[in-house]
Amino acid sequence: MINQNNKSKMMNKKGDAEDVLIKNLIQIVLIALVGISIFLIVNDLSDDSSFRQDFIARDLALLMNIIQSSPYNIEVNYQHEFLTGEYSLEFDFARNQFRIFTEGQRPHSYPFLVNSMATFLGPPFSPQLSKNEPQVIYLYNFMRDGGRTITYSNRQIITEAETILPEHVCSEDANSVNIQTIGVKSSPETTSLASMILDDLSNDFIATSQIQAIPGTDLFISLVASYEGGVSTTRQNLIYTLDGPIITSNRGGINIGTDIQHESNNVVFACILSNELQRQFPSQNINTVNRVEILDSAQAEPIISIHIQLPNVEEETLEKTVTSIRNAIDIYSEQGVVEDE
Amino acid sequence: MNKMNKKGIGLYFPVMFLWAMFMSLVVIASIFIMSKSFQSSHLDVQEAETDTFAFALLYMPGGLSYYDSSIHRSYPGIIPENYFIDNDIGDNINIGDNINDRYNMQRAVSYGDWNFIAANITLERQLPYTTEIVGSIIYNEEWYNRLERRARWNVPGFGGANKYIKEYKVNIRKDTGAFVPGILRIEIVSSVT
Repeated sequence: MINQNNKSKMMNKKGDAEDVLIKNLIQIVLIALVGISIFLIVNDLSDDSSFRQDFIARDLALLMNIIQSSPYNIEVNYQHEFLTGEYSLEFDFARNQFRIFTEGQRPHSYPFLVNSMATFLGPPFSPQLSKNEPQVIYLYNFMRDGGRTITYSNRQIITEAETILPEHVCSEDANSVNIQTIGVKSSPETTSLASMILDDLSNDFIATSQIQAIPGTDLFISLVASYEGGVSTTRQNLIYTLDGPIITSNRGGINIGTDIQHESNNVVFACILSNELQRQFPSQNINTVNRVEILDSAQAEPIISIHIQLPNVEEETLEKTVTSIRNAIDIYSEQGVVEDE
Repeated sequence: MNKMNKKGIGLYFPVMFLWAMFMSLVVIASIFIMSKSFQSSHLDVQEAETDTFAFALLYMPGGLSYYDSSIHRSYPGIIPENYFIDNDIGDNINIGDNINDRYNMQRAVSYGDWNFIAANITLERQLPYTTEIVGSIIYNEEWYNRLERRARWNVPGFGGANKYIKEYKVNIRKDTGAFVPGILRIEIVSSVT
């Protein structure tokens, strides 16, 4: 019995030791589990850039509001420590909102107001803020000539500057500060009107050596001049915008290009066309603005915008518009061209 | 008895293990919830937004201030009386548009499709001992009515709205060119964004 008791005690002690060991192991495993979980949670939080993106979106959107309220020229060099992190941010300013895109996350956006008295164009590009590059966004607001410029930059400077065409070139009623962005929404009426105008004019241009008709994209029509044996289809440097009679946010338009090498030709043609349109539509205001878009500070592309709000989209309007363009091209072909020196 | 004890010892480990696991999960979940709740995820810029909106109305060409289209300058603080009497704020701010004036103003200073802000703007003429209302304009009228109701009932959280009232001393420009002192009162309602 004694031996058996001793044996039993021995066995119990051995069992206790195993029990303690197992319990300790379980505790160690669980503590390690908790520790690893905390580490992962904190790591996840430190990687979470949503606050940063939200901050930048709101900050820049409010900055947009402020710079547009400036009574005179303003240039803002936006640089924030949030932009200098290790994160790659892609952003754009489109449709009244500043948006930031990050891979695998929903875009962060915040709206800003737009003053349509001056041009605030939403160019279709998405600059990218990436690491190891200067993280600066430039915002400009030039008002001296009645136009405005907003520039976004990440090393690559993209500028849009505008000036109003001189009054002595255009007719008195044909200058304004009001520029309209076209191509965002096209109403069926104005788009079909633009198509009919092209159809009507295309025969003329086939026979014209100086101006060539090329169908455009995005429901618009491009009439791009040929130069030096080639045809520039990269940009249309004269935009003729047709507004519907009532809904001004829906537009159609015609893009017309003259010789892209000579900005003065565009000005001349735009003013001739403005005058012709004014003759045909004496009761309508016509806004003509010259905008210069500079890419990389090296490549300048002038864009002239003519904007008219049509009284209706009937046959008579079509005929008058076609007549205006036809006359303008005739006049331009005869006397408005600046030749190479 | 011995057999029962052994059975008890046999059950002790799984039960304690499960209990410890459960408690560990509770701790992990608590840490996760606490860290997420303390994480700043929302920036409240509502008041700053209403400030910039009010400044835009005051300073921007196309806003409420008198605008000289020939030199492309607006005159902050000078409010044309006819904007409020005839509701005729279209001629000076959107050349070439034959649409109704209220729409003109919204188009001139616009948030596009975003309807999170609206305003009721009242111009008052200052008299020696009192004021006289010249007129009022509602910016984004449809949404003003909706948001104002929410602000009045103090609906909290997202979807709710707040009301901010701003008053500015201005000069009212009469058609004759004369100036009289006035007060511009802008009641801005903005939904929580």
